[in-house]
Amino acid sequence: MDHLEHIDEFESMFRRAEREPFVFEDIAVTAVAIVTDGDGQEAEHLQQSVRQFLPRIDSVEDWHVFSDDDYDNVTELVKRLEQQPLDLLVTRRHLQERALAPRHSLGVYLDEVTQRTDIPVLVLPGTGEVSASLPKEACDRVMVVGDHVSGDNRLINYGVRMCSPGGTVWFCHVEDDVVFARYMQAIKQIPQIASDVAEVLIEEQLLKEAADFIETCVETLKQTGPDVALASHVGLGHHLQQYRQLIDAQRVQLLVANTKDDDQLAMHGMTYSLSIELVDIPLLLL
Amino acid sequence: MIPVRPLLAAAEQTEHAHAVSPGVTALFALLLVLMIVALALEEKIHAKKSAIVGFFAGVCLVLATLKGLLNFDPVKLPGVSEPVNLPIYIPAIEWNVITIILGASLFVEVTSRSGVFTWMAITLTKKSGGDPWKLLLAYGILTVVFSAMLNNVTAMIIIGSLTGVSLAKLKRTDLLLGFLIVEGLLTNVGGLLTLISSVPNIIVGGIADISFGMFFLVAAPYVVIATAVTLLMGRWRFNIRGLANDREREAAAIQVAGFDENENVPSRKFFWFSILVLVLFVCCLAGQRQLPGGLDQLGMGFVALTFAGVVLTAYKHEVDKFYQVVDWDLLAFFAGLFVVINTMEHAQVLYVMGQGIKELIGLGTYLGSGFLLVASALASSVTDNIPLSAMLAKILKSQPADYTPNAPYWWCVIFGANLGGNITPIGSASTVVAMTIIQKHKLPLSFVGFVKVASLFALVEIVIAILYVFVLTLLGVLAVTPAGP
Repeated sequence: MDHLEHIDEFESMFRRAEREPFVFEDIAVTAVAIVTDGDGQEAEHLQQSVRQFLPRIDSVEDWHVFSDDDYDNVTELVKRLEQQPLDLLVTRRHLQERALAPRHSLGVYLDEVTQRTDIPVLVLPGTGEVSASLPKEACDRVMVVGDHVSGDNRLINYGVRMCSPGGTVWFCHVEDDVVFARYMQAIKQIPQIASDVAEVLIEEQLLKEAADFIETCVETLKQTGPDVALASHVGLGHHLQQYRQLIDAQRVQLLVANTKDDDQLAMHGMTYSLSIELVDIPLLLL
Repeated sequence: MIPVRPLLAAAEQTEHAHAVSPGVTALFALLLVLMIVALALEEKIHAKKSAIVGFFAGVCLVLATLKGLLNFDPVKLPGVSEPVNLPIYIPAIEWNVITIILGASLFVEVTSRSGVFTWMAITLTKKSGGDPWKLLLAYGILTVVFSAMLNNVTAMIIIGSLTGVSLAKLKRTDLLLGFLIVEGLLTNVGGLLTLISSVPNIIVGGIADISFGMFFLVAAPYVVIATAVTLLMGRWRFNIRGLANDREREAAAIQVAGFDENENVPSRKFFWFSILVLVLFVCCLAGQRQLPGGLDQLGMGFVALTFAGVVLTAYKHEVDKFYQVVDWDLLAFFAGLFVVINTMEHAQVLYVMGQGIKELIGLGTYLGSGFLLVASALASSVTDNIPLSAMLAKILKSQPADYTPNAPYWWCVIFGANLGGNITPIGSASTVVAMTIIQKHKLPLSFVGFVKVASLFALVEIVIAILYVFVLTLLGVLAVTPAGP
């Protein structure tokens, strides 16, 4: 073994010992905007539903309502939203597009708002074709998902913030088995790499990273966080199928995910597919 | 400069020189120079040390045989009534040195699997709270301790790797170059701490008959002083300061607190077993001369091999994996080197060089010691310090004065051979590793750049070493007295 290999071996050992720190932050939600394509009455009704569903933001006093008459296009809406600091935006899919009866998209407004602003968006269940409303009871089963969950303090803190006292927050990380299989296929064609060993070790490491971070989060939240139960799921599989199973099994009421991809304007790939497919539960898109 | 021609002529006049002509001595001296140059250009000629020295050992043996310099009579072994026929190159090898290196490297390899060294490194990182100055102190002291316990190269690899990872985590990669240079320099300081900390120590200590305990008592105060001075110079030279306020301290502490020191500890039981055996190993080496029942005669090599055997029992089903990681290139290099030195002895090359050294020592205890230390340091800065220390130790041993283990000259060779490695990046294996890590991180430092930065540190360390030897000589701890009968 030459020096470089030896150095690399020790660097790997030390990197393996690194844990992404998690810092709990009780995220302040003081200003909320409701965007509808209906009238003011609908907006008021929606405001009541949100207060009921998310009791931890019940103390918000600064509510802004943007109904049908307040904007004509996306740019105008974004401009109006940016005129005041907002901590949360509540809206639905296919805003102003109900006549088109779409099912498999987010709609132009939601798509643009999530990418052009940094405001977290609570997406109501339902589509332009089939409308649905927020559950009547308080949200006490939240699921936080991500494919780079490690180190994402904001994602975790929002998940915890949205859960009612005494509820349960699930931290989930699913490694895409199709992508994994693709890389393993490539590794199997490289004679210098022992494929079987590589497969086991890479899978272990991929899952360990997320599991370690989640463990750190759970430990920190138990000490300093609010009164919520914490659970986790880390595994390899098909994103959508796994999350669907977990949502059904745990009767999850709110899904929290990141929308921003570092290197592109379009919505984060996994979140986009989740928000298209999982139309029956509310989503919090960060 | 010492004139060569009179020295060669002098070789002819000695009692051993009856069969060696000055021409033959010069030929062998040329071979020696060529070997040293080839070793210095090891990377350029793409040949491992063992291959280079093995080639020269073969050439020297053939030439020495053809010139009738070697004695092929059967060898008389202790406890065996009849002389035994041994290949001429077998008794030429210093087997005690080989067994110490083999045993110690196996022992260290197995104990390092317990995660004890990475545990220590990460624990200290966390204790520093991510403060750059405290981190430099922690890594500097660890470098010295690891160099003393393991070997300089492994110490540099462990600490250098951790430095890269932790400074990246703290987003202070601007300090990485300074850290790596200071650590590289400290490996050679730490390599002076014990008799088994570096190969020159093992070779010179073995030939001079210096005990483990004596070595530690003489060298430790210097190591403490030189480490402190190097760290303070590093702080000044690379502008490594502590964190300014509580906010910065809190943020840094959160970052390093994320390290899990137990991540690389596979078994708690083996972890504590390794610490216990490590302490026992050091105690046995220190007390080897006092082992009862004549066990001391088995030597330090036996102690090292025994402890390697003890820890290997933890991995008895896969001991072959540990045999694979032994540095066979280094061991073969030593074997070849001892054969070369043996033929040089027969060809009177050592005698001629000895005359030169004699001239140097003849300048007086203080001046002679000083010159010897500086000459050793300069020579080891451009070539491998192992052949250098082996040759110088053999030459000193062959001096008629028959120096005792506390003669300052041995210590000058030890200090010079170790510290000379700090002058250039090729001066020692650990500075080569430091440069490898520097290049891996794409930091801007050339060969000349290293010399410019490091030579000031090396100069200060060498000056302190000279003064230290002077003081010990003044105090009578070191003295030029012939060994007793």
